[in-house]
Amino acid sequence: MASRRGNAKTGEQSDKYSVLLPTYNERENLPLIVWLLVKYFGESGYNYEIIVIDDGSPDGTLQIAEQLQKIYGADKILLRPRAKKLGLGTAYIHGIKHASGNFVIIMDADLSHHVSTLPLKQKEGGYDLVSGTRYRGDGGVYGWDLRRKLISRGANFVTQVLLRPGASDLTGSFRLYKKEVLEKLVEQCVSKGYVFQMEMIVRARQLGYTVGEVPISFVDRVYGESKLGGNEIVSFLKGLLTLFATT
Amino acid sequence: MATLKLYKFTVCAIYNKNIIYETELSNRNTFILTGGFFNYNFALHRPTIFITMTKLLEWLLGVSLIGVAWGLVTFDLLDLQLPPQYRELAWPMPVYLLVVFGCYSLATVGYRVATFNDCEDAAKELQAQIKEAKEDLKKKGLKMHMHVLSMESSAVSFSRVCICIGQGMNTSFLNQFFLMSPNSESDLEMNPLCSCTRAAFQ
Repeated sequence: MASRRGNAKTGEQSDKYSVLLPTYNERENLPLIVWLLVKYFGESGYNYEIIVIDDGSPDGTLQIAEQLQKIYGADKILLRPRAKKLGLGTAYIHGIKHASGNFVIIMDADLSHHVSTLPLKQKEGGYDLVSGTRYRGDGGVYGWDLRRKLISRGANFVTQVLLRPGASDLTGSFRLYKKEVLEKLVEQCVSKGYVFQMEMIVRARQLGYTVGEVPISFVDRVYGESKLGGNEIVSFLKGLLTLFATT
Repeated sequence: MATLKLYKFTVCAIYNKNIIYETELSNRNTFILTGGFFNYNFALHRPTIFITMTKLLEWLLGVSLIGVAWGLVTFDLLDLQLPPQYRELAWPMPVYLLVVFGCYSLATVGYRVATFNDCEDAAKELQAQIKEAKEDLKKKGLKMHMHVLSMESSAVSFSRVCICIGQGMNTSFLNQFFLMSPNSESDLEMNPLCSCTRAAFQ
């Protein structure tokens, strides 16, 4: 170990990946996602930490997180809870403050992916931002009916025409950022909810950051998922038009 | 009579956060700026008005350029005396372009929906991993089921409490509760008091 000096490996070993998991009522999903993360990061040999940002979940997510911390160690699983539900943007800011890695991975606690694909892609191209996409390569979805696919592709087409963002999937939330890039973007973005995710990529393009993509398979683990109703479509269009007019 | 003060100000055009054009104007030029989003910036030593190029402005610019070109050719505004074929071609152009764009959109979206991958393998792999994760975590000592009023069971618990409260009411009211609450048929026996007692010791 001591004789490894001036070795290319040391550059790799100094990369640390902080995974931010904002959770709210994720008692069932949190252990699974943590287990998967530990498994894939363990297999790939990357240095990582998982930061659980719980917004005062009433279903006891924090207790589960504490048990996981006991199992996997407090250096791997950090708990940074907050008193009440304060929103995604502030969760990221809160998480970044406590992140000791130089890369930050954002994911929803109810998705599951091969998380090691992100660092791989980043190393390939030295990207500032790597995003998971369902629409390119062998990315895809599971269990979607025709209506949902149509709405999804249609909305994505409208987004591409209007915003020309240079990324194929804007609403996804499985991403890897360089830490300073994420800090800069979060302070620039003003939207809320998933429009916030869209705005991050659009602003990243504007500021000249490089964006890479990896195909992901989107498998909803939440049963009885929300149907794509008229309300959601209207709010999506409102968000899209706001971005169109302001960026 | 008040003298008109001369105000000099700079107008900057910004594209992708870079200043691409800057000009100095005075209020003596009646210069009307339309469209765009104005931000009056006091930070510089002289008043500056910024116009930020948004996607909307790009579109408006593009559309107006095309519109002007089309108007010039179709209505012969510059008296260029172009041959009539040009005019006949240019006249229905906007409609043609819209139709072409519409067809392109439908074809693209249709193709993309048809080739949207379905990841059966990923779903199966995930189910297997969930099972594996649950067993592994149980071995490591994770206790999943605690006596916490979780979201899914709250409806049933609430109905049990309701029936306890309805103890002193007439039977027709209690019957309503029996019908309304889910899972109540199997859980409750004829005597609501028994079910209350059971609920208290859950």
